[in-house]
Amino acid sequence: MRELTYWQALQEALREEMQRDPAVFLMGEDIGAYGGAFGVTRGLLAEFGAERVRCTPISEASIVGAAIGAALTGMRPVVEIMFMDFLTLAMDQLANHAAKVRYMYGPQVRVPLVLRTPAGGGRCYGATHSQSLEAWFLHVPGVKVIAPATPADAKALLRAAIRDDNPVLCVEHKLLYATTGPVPDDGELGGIGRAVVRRPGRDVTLVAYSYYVGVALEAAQQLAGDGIEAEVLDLRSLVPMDSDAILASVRKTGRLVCVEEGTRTGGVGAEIAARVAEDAYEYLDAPIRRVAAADVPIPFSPALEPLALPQSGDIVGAVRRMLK
Amino acid sequence: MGAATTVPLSAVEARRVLFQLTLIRAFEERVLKLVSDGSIRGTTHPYVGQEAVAVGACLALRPDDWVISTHRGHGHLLAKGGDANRLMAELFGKATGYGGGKGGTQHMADYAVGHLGSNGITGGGIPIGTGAALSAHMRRTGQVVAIFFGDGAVNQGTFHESLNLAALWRLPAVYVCENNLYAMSTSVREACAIEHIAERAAAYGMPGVQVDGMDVLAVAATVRSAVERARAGRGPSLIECKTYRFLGHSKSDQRVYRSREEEATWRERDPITRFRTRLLEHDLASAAELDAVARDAIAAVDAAVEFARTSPFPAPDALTAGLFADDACAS
Amino acid sequence: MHPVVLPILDANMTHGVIRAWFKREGDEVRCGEALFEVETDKVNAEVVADVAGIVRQIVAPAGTRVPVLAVLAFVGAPDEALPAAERWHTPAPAEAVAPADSLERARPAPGVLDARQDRVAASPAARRLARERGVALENLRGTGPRGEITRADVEAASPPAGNGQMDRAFLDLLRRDPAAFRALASELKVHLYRQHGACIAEGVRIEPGALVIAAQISIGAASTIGADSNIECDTLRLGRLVAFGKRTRVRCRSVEIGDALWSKDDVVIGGGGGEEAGACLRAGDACFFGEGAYLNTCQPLTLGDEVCIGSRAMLFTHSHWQSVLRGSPSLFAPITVGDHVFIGNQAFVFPGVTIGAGATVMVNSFVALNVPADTLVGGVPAQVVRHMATPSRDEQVAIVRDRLVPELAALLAAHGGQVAQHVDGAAITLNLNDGRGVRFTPAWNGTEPRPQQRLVVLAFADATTTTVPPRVTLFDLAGSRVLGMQDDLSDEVREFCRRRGIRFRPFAWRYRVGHFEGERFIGRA
Repeated sequence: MRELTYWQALQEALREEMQRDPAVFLMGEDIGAYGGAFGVTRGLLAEFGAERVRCTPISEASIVGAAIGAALTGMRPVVEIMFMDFLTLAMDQLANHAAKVRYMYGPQVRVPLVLRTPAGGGRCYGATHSQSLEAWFLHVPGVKVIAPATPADAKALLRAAIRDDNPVLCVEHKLLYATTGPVPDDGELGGIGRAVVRRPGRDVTLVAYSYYVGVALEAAQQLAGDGIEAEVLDLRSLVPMDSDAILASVRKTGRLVCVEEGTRTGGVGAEIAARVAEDAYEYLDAPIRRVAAADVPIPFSPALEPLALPQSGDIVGAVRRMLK
Repeated sequence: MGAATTVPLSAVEARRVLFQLTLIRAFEERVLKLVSDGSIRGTTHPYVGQEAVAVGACLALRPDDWVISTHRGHGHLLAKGGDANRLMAELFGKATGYGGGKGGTQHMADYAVGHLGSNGITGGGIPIGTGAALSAHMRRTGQVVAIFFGDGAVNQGTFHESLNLAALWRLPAVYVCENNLYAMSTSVREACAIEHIAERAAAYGMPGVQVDGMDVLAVAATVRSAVERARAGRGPSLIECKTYRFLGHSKSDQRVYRSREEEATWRERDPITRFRTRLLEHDLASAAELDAVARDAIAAVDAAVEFARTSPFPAPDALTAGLFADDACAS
Repeated sequence: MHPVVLPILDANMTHGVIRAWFKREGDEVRCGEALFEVETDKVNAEVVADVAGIVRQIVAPAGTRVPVLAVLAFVGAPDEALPAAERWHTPAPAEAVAPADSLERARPAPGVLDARQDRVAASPAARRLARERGVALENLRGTGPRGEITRADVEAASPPAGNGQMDRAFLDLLRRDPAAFRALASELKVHLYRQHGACIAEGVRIEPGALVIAAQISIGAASTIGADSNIECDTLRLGRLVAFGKRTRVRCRSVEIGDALWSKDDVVIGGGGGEEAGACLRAGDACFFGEGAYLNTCQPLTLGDEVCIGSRAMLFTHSHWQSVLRGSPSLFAPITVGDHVFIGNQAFVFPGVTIGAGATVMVNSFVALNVPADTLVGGVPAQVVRHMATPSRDEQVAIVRDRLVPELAALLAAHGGQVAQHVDGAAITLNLNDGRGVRFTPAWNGTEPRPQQRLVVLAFADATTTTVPPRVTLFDLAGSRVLGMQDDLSDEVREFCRRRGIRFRPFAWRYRVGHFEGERFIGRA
């Protein structure tokens, strides 16, 4: 099978969907000749023209709002928000409109909107260019959230998102763009809402998504050296979240570590921990642990950023303390 | 700016326009009573006094053109052809309402008549309407979008961003500002650095026009020009309708921020009275016919209330239905 | 490779602390040479090696506290492979040895108690598994990071059903020194059996003096092996609520018994020929073995459900004395007994006999030929006296209504208080003066009473009935089942029925101990 980078896989998804359906078009800042801040839309302007690859002014709220209006009226826009941090500027449109109009206006409405956004730190970009805000969207019913960890999933999930008639936020970790992996030629559309076991194990479940799937796998490798077999579960989407897969894994291992790059308080891990405590309490052999970012803005300095963001050693340490 | 001296309508059309104006007036006044007696919960934002803007603008639109509305949106919905029964049922929170009872007064849409939705966020609909114009532009349908908003919204960032985007991309949008001089209790003078909102159009590279918002025909004529411009691919326009809401911002508003004299002055320019007078002057209808129209409007409102009262509330399982497409939806 | 274990130096000993090793790994040791010193509550003792060889591995270094029979070291040839580490019990580090009351310290190490002294610290998964497997948490030692009992600890104490494979070395130890083991307290014996592979559920007792030596041991909840019993076999598999009386002697290949066997004192299973390949006893649920019953199992002996072997009755699967050279037939043949059979006191059943279900063998009979089902046989040799026909349902209803209900009413009245009878169509209710009641109704329609207080119902129900309203006990006379809550009143009715041969599933002889709801055993205070 051929190997693509994560960004190439995303681009292929966009290209294939734009070829397949003329209603699909792109909006975003610098996505034209520049190819997007992370190069995902390279070449698409040349192939599809400026009508369908629309470079916008810096107007996040209205870009998203316009995308909503276009989605309501027969188009299928894919908006790139350059950094997830900038989603804050569009929160009203996303949370008060995209998420709610179908519920309020009824089934006459469909909002086939996709928002793609690079997220995460690790590059010393500073506090307003490094955040992982996906936990916020667990709390706004009406928006789906996907977070592919591999190039194959990037393509499959983005295609599924474009074909979904609901608003979908696609969280792309910056550090993933250059990673490579096998991507099937005509892969199936990845099921939004289905998690995947990346590494089976029996002693502890590590639930992760996006970039941290790789970190969890690293940690699992280390733990295997101690005779601890960790199961790594890649969530792939956060809304809807595959609770059944999480519960099944925890029932098997009895121990859970939730791994994420967002801050610990009120994070995705807190939600997972609550669900597991509610529905698999009697299978827990140890308290649930979360490995997440510190509750601080992400500092710039290379001496501090790695302390704020979780590392594989944190996962290993958490598991070792659970098992002593 | 000036009033039209002729009435470019047939007698039938004229009576229809009067019916619409009167229907909106009667509907809003009735809703206030129903809020007072508890039949309608929450609050309402009465459109009383501004009827000419909605009706006039919609006169200039085709059925397949779109409008997007505001929190004070009953008038736009009725003017665009919305169903008074379903509107009233939605206000009552009934399952037969536009949103199955889940939207309420500020969140209703009727896609079948080209109404993309009213909006609880000031300025929230402006970008969405702009996007609909983008869609029409990309699909080459020739549709135009009329985007309503008030004087309060022109200071939201979305106003600025959207007008820029629409002008940049030459979108078929008509931005209709209903300047009723107050955003809740804040006067335009206290909120805007300029007096005439239409002047802002220059900043975005589009024409800006002021019109007497109490004159339904003037509004229609002005919006028509802008619509034709948009439909011809020459881009968006900003139209500032000078109007006034006779009642408070919402049901509970005591209107301490403006004088009764001011209110009286504007009431003398009641759009419905003025239009009636014009019709009589131009012999387009007799007084009796006009009274009949008024009675018809009341009857329609009565029917809407009856429909709403006798409709069922949504079932409990409607709570979680309809969040995502491909779910079952109660309505 | 020979494991060096901590011997039981006295009857009360449960643990010892290894004070010193006299040999190091790699040293040669001779048989009888001092190997290590151990400190117990009573004594410091030197223990000598009982084999010669090289000390290959010391598992419990000086300072560790270990339970009796734990493996401390391995002695063997230099090139022999050492056993895999995880098979052996890893000793815990020594705790501060305080001059405490020895009786207290002789208890098995309990699960760590948390701040609320009445609650053992255990993870939720451990609790669930303990409940499912019938393991008592108080008996377990926790290995979790904070001393709590973990799932793994419960698993170690109760391997999943179907296993029960015993550790050979442990069995060898038992054979070598049975007396010391017999004397141990029940909890410790059960604990040690579990540790070495046995599948023993909650509430099982192995009374003082009793010993089981079997390669595979599986014992269901609340079963008892009576005092001074001696069970030696390859496979011992007992269901729940099985009670072997005192001095039960078992010697055969396999014993597989269902639930609720009531076996009285001095019962013998096996006898001569216990070593033969076919020497096995298989019995169903709710059987009864009277005092001194003798079940010879040289060949397979198979009993169905609810089989009663009267006191001193004898079932022989092989001939005994007269020589085959002198013309004796010398039969070796299995005996099969169907469900609901009664074999009277002191009856004798010959090898090769099949007794059909429902048959009754009169006391003192000699059964040499097959007995047809549902017959009454008697005599020496036994012959059919008559066939027993099962009454029709209507006749059964009449039996209950006309005979049992009045007798039950009399019994309840005799136990104190008034009994008022209330007839309602076909149903008769006995109302006690405290508001409780017992009712007989021919048919149970499921929507029956919602009594304010207690109601025990005797009825002919059908298989579709699976639940009953609150405060109701249903004795289903058609399906022989009991449903619903159980208490003194329902026990009394059940006893009453039992004395008339009417038994109900789930079976229980000793009601005061508790009863089963599905798989769960609910003990009574």
